[in-house]
Amino acid sequence: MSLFALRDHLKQVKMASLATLCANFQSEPDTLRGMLAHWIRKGVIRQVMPARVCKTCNACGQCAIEIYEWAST
Amino acid sequence: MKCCLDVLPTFSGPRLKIALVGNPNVGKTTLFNALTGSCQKIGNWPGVTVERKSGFFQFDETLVEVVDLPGTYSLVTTPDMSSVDEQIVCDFMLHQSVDLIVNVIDASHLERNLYLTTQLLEMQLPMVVAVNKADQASVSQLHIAYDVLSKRLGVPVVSLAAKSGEGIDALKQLMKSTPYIVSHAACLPSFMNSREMKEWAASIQSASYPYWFAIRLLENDTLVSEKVSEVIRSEAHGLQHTIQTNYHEEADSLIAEARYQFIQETLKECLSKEVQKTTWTDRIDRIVLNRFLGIPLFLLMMYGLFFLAITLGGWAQKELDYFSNRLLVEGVSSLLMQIHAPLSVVTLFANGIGKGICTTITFIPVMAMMFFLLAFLEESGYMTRAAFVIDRVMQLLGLPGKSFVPMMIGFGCNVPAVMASRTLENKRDRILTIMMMPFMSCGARLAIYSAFVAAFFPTEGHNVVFALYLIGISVAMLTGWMLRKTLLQGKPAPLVMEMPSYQWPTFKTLLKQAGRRLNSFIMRAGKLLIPICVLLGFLNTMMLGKSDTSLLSWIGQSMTPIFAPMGIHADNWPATVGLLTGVLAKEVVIGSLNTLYSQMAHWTGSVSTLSYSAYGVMYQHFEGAIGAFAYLLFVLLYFPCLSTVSAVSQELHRGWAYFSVFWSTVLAYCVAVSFYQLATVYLHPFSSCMWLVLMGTVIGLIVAGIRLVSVKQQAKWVPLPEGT
Repeated sequence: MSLFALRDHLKQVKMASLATLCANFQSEPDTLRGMLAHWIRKGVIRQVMPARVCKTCNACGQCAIEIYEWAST
Repeated sequence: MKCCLDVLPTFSGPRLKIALVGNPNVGKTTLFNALTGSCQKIGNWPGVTVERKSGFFQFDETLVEVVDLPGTYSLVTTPDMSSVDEQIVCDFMLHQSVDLIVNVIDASHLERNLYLTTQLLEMQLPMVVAVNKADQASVSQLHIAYDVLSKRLGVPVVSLAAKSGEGIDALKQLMKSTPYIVSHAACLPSFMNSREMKEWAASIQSASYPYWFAIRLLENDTLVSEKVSEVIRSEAHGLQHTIQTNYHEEADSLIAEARYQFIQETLKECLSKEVQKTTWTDRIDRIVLNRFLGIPLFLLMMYGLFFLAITLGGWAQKELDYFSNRLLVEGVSSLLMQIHAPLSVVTLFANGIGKGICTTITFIPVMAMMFFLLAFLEESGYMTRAAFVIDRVMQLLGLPGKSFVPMMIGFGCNVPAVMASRTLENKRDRILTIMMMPFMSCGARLAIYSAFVAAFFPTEGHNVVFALYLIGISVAMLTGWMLRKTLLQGKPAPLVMEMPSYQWPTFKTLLKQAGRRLNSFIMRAGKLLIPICVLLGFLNTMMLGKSDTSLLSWIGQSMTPIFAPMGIHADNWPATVGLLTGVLAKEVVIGSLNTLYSQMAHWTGSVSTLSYSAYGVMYQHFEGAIGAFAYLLFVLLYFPCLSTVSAVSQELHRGWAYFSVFWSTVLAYCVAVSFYQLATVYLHPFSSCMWLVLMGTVIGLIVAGIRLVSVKQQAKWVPLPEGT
């Protein structure tokens, strides 16, 4: 598991949930959050806020779904 | 025994100052309390409102001051991204002199926690690593070789369970022994050990820890940048540029990567997890994930869910409906009549607001039951398995297995289901999934089903609802399959997901989750239902000229012939109005029907059991169970609510939103009409056959049109010559 591999993966897939990344890299969510924080700080990746349309609705309880997307051009 | 705070001013023996540093939630405060007991001083960190805790304890002849620093993940500060806690810790490390750092780490999250440890090691200060929650790690079968970890880090490591006090004495002994001065560079990239770098680091005269300052400057740390001269800053920029040219990556990323590599190598050597041979999860999974039993078990689970929700929830629904109508509609109405309130006021409060609240209240039992059972399936870990089981069917149809997760979310609300499709990496898979979502029976549709089954299917309600859910899933899959074969050709991405262990959810967790969903559903439904009921109530009292036809009934009656082939006759115009208002939000359908049928009941004179007569009037106007099921089929499939259309438009493109509206509405009409005509074919065989042929032709023509567009699209793609 490498910081650069994580960045390159997101560059390729453009968007992924934390759960998918964990399964893909066989890594713990907390470890990945730390790595993702590095790239977020650098403006390469950003966390998508899912509650853009459904901010008043929690009907499904899935608003906490953690999604990251490629932010760099 | 005297408290250390009392002896503090006069104490003349040896003193030691230690700082507890670690990530949030690693148990620093528990350790702090275990070390200092009641000898604590609480204040604020300068300039901020973050609590500053320091405490004292006496060990042998030494008075030890302990500072509990806020939890932080990193020591690097950046202008926008760093939290106040991070800045406090960095500032403390820069300005306060401590004799020893106790780095507290969580034994169950070593990989994340050790990142801060590597940054602390770079400071080359006396340090001890305290691996807390070691007892929990043992329970999770995690084995840590502390001696190996200590050797790798170059500092003493002690195993702790601060909550029970285990290991505290060993930690105190380590504090007193000759502190280690670490000289560690294994976790840094090779360029940091070059002669040029060492010379430059040595030239940073103003720094207390020049080498550490050099690393921080290369990481663009703002706090450290402020401490050095402009010359040093420009030299740092120059070095960053050189490193990027030589290594094709930025210096800070290379430094972070080196730390992660060091951590992973360390963990490989000192961490092992005992794999249990056969767990309960494995045993259950052998049945649940079985190739032949998986799907029948999934269907059985869903059937059980609807059986319990409709049977138990439906019983409570009837009672609640009766009492709420008595109180809020009849009660309010008779009260207002007694005080001779004008008819418009009675209409507003009793038939508008009262009826709106009643309709909202009646949803509660079925929805609560449904959300509770769904929460149980999710929390127990079954839903993840369901996704895996359904993936096999999805793969057969060329659909991505990952679509199942948004589909399950769609049972709550279609809007977040559309948004959850973002997790699909492949754009074609994403479009396909979003197009499938509006066919999932959301909570609002369940409210409509539950009202209809109470009126038309009193004993077989759960079977009808189960069938509707399955039809929804099937239509969604067929839509996906049709798009995969035409506009969105390609191979689905494989489903990779981690299976959590099964767990027995606590009643409190289930109540909390179901309550949260129910609350937001009721709030949303209530906000829409009450104004719509008021509006419909008024429109239905506005008569056209001197006739006895209201404006609303005129609108409804003029549109009803469109729905005649699916069994809605001219006198059942409220059903048409319900469908029209349902475009806004599906919750509104049942509110509209309740208001309009109640008024019809009122006009026919059966006021005594108002709500039941609303159901009674509804029963009289539909063609029994066949007509009601055809109507429910239309409600299941037609026009997604405006919020869903907006979400589709935002996530994809307006064109796809229009397509979703067109496809779902045409499909709903064709399916509902086909069902009704098939079910009543014995009454009018010729016209039924004609309708069936017509509906089949319409669907066929649309699919052919979509295929034509897809062929034209493919013809536009000119393949590149080989070798390019």
